[in-house]
Amino acid sequence: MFRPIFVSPPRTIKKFIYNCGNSFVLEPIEELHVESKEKYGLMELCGENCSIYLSSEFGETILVDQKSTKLQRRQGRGGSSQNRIARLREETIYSYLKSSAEKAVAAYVRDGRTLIKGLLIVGPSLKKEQIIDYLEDIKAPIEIKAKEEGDPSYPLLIDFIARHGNDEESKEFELINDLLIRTPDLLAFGAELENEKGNIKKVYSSELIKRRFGGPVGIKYFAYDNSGSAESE
Amino acid sequence: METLRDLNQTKNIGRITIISPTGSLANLISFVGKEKVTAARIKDRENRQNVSSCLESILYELKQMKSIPEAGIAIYAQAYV
Repeated sequence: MFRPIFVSPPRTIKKFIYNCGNSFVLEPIEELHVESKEKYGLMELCGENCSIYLSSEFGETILVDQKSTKLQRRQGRGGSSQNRIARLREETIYSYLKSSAEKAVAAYVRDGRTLIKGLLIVGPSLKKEQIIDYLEDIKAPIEIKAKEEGDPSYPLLIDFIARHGNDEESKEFELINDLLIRTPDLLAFGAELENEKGNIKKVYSSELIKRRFGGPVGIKYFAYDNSGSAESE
Repeated sequence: METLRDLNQTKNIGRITIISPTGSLANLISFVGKEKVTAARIKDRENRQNVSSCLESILYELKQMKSIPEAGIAIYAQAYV
C-alpha cells in the first residue's frame, strides 16, 4: 500500500483543489515553493554536524540533508596508542568532510548542472575551509563566514544574497547599508516613516530590504536652506 | 516535490490530489469521507479499487493529525508505485 505524501507549503495556500486523475496536480504547490525561484545554498558546518539548506532569494530555507559524526576526543593521549588514535580521528574527519560534501553536491548539482546561484558555508569550526576542496563540482561562488554555534545564520544569508542576487535590489541594499554606517540619522525605518512623512525624500521597500530591516526604509532630507541645497539634520 | 514529479512520469490511474488551505480538520475529514462514498460508484473495477484505497489511507493519516498547518496542506496519494 502506498502511503500518502503530505506536503507543507512555504507560503499560504488560498484555493481548495481536489483532483482524481492520471497525474498529480503539482503546479499550485510548485509556484509556492522556493524551487521555482533562484536558489542559494547554505551549509551549516559545525565540528560534528553538517546541515545542508536550500534557500530562495528571500532567505526562506528548507533543510535538505544532514550529516553527523562522532569524533575521537583524546587524540593527545593514549601512550603508545597516541598515534593510532590521532590517525583514527583524522580518518573520521576525512570521511565526515567527504560525505558531507557529497551530500551537498547531490543537493545542489543535478546532471552536471549547478542549481544554485551561490553557496554560503557558515559555522564555528575550521573544517569549513577544508571542505571546499571537495566541492569542486559546484560551479557557483562559494563564501565562508565564521559563526558561533547557536547563532542564527539568517542575517549572514541575507547579506550573501544581497551581494549575489538581483542587481537593483542589491544596489539599494548596499546604499542603505552604507548610509546606516555613515549617517544613520538620515534613515527612517518602518513605523518612523509615518512620523517623518513630510521629510522623506525616497522610500525603499524591496523585498530584500523589508526582510532585512523588518519594513520599508526611507531616506530623510531636511529643511532646504536659501541656496536650495539639501542639508541633513 | 522531486519524488512526486518523478512519480508523475509513470503510468497510473487513480491519483488523488487534495490541496487545502488551513481551516477545520473535521471538514476536510468529512469531505474525504464523502468522496470515498462517491468513489464506491466508479464503474471500472481497478480505478474504483485504487481511488478507494487512496482515500482510505488519506483518511487514516488525517485522523492521526491534530490540526491543519497554518500555511495549509497538500496531500498526494496513489494506489501503488
